[in-house]
Amino acid sequence: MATKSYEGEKWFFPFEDDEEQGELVERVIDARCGYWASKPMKKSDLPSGVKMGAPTDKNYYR
Amino acid sequence: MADAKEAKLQGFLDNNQHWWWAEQARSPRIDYLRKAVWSKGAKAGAYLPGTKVGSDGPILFAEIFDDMDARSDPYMTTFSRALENTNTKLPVYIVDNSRIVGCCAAAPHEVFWVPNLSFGLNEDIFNDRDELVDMDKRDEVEKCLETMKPYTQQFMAEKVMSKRHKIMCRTSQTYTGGPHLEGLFYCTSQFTYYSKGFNAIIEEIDAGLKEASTVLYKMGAVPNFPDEEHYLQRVPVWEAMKRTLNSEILYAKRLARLARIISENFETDSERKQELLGISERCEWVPANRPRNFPEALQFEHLQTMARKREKPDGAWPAHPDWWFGDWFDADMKSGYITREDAVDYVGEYLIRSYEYGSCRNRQWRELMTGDPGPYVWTFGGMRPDGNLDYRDLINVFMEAARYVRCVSPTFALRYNKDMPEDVLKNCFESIRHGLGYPNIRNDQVLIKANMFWSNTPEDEARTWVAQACIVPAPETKHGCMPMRYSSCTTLGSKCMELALWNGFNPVFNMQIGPKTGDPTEMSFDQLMDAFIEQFKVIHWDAVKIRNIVHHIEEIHGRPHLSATYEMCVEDGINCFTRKEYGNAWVTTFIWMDGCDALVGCKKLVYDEKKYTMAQLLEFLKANWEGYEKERMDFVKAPKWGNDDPYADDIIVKIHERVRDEVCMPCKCWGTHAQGVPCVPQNVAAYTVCSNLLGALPNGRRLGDTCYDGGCSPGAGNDKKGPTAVLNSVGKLTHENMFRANLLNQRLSPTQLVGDKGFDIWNSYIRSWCDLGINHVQFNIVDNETLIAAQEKPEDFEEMIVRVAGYSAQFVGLNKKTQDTIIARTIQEL
Repeated sequence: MATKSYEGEKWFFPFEDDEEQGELVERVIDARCGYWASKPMKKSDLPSGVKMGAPTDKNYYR
Repeated sequence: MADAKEAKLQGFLDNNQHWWWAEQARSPRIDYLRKAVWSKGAKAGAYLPGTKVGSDGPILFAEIFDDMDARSDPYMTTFSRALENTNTKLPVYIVDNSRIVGCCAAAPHEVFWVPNLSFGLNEDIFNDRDELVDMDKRDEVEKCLETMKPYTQQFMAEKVMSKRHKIMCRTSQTYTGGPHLEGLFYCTSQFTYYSKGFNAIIEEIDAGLKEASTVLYKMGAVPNFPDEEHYLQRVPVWEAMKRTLNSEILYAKRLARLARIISENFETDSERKQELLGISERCEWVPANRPRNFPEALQFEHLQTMARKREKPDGAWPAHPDWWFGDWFDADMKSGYITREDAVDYVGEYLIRSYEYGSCRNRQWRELMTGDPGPYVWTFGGMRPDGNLDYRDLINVFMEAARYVRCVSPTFALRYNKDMPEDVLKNCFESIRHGLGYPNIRNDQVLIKANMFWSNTPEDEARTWVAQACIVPAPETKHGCMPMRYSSCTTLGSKCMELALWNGFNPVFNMQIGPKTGDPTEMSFDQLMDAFIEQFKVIHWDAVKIRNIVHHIEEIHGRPHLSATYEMCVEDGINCFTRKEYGNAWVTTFIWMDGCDALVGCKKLVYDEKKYTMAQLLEFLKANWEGYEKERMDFVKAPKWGNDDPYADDIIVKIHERVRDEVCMPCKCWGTHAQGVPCVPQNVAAYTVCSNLLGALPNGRRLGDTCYDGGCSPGAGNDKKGPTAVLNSVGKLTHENMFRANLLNQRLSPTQLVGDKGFDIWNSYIRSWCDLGINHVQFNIVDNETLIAAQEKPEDFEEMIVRVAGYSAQFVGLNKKTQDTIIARTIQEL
């Protein structure tokens, strides 16, 4: 497991490896109940200013 | 230090504290994963605190079923689009320390909700007092459930059913619900086909689609309506299969991506980083392709299983892991790709991930399966189609891993042959001695013959059998494996005795529900038995008719994923419910032997000894024996099943013969080879849950008294002449053809079964059991002192497991009444 705590933080990663899914980003969260989770969402649904791979505390998407 | 640990572990074993032994003996990874997993079993009717039913299922399905296309597309097309939507959008997660990843649900504490089964189930979940649905999603989920209601199996089936059938199913007077209310499936797998990988199946589908395209659309081709119709029917089915398989490959790739993201961006432990990259590589490869090694084979089947369970929940989980995965395991061990220790860890994790699933069930079924998220019964060993026995070392690995993880589901069934290797049998016995309650022991040769009798299955194919539900065997071949249980209305068997005594009137519900078979005060014993059979006939045949109606709806629904895993379906472009296989019909008969003993009680005290008249007996029963305790005790003391007493046994054997010949054999169901619809007497927890549905009977039972716990087990405490007498009674039934399968519970003394001598005693018992041609036996080996201590101090016994009836459960997770029934069972000294 990751030694650093990322509890509740969220990151967004582009689907770099999958051109068909180019409109999507993977929203990743370290749930810190002992698991990592992700859910795809549309880039267009993200507010401007969100940086890929950078943590954000905004609850954009459950 | 190592010696001290060994001594400590040995101490736990010596004191029969196998759960403490497991905690200390297993690897740190398995210890972590076992403690981190959420059990989806219920206590009484309630899921454990914190468990949620995920809202993703209804939302993602309704998005598709609510659009215009759904109104005109074939159901299976829409269904496949709903599954595609789910596989694309459902959150995926990876648990720390895990190496086998993925789950039906979106989070470890959630159960996946399939919303197109039963609107009654949907309402039950939505309105559950434990707030199973997240509060912030309730409004959205409510709308989605409304959207889904007309598309549910229940809605469509009830449009066809009679009012009487609907009432009987919903009130559980003679059935515990019905298949349209349960929505639980029992799918035998054709692993030898689909393990080639989903891409290979898609290639076959593409070949069919190409052929269709030529016939339907090629410019200049001569019109030929029969051919065109043939393909017009098949194209949507192939397309649904292909869409679903592709989305399942995508789901695995999403897991692969998540594993890589964690490894590359967050994980700091170098070993775990590599593990995550390994997970990523595996999920990129399977289920798209055939597994290349043992860990990939486990991951492949895990992904396939979750796709199946997301399509429709399993009421059981037929599997044959040693035969399925054995070649990969043997090759990896030989090449050194994995160590045995690592293999045990992989299998342990596979068991934990399997335990994690659970399913979305209504309260009644949560009660019937109290303590168990399954039942998932996996089959091990047995005779191969060529007549050779095949018991692999992988069985030993599964048994060892099971002792470490101590999950109540999946449980195991061992196909027993007298010539099987002793090391495997000893390992199975060790798991039983550790108190797991499994494997249950199945008589391989008897059940092969039973397959041949009831389904006319060719002998070589009958030899591939797996337990399709708790105890029913089914073949796994191209023409034999089945997508569902053909008759899954579950009847209350002893109700027929009560109805015979009251001329078809149900005194518990105050309704006339059975045929008027006459006034018992004017009957001879033979006439009373005729009435018993007549009542049973109506209950059983109604169940089959209900199942037939629901099957008709299932043909409309289809199952795109499951269809794509059967060779015949892919070849022919048909959905799995319209495919014609040999067939394996049965009706599970709960609470059966009470009624048989009751008939014996009548014979003894009313007809032979004439101690009481039938009118007096009816007066006792009407009063629920209140004020007639002395008379009740006379009926309690009358001859009972399980004592090798010809008086009782002859009558009961006769009942079974008549039920087979007059009730089961005339039934016709699906399947090309089915010979009738036999009974399967067994109980899960129905013997406690349904005790309030069955009134007083002449075996001394009162309304609410716990019923007999097995299918052919004697009543708790009624077996007074020892284990051999029990076997002799049970062996008088012909297990090859009187029913489809049957269930015998036995409790043995833990102190008697210590060490090699204990194994020898047990082995000798099993050989006698085999010689008598009994199809099944399962054991509890835990003493009353321990069980009572666990009632008093449950926190010290959280991982203590007991066999209930057809499944295992953590003892402290059972309600008090069920706990008491296990304590009440006779401990047999061998």
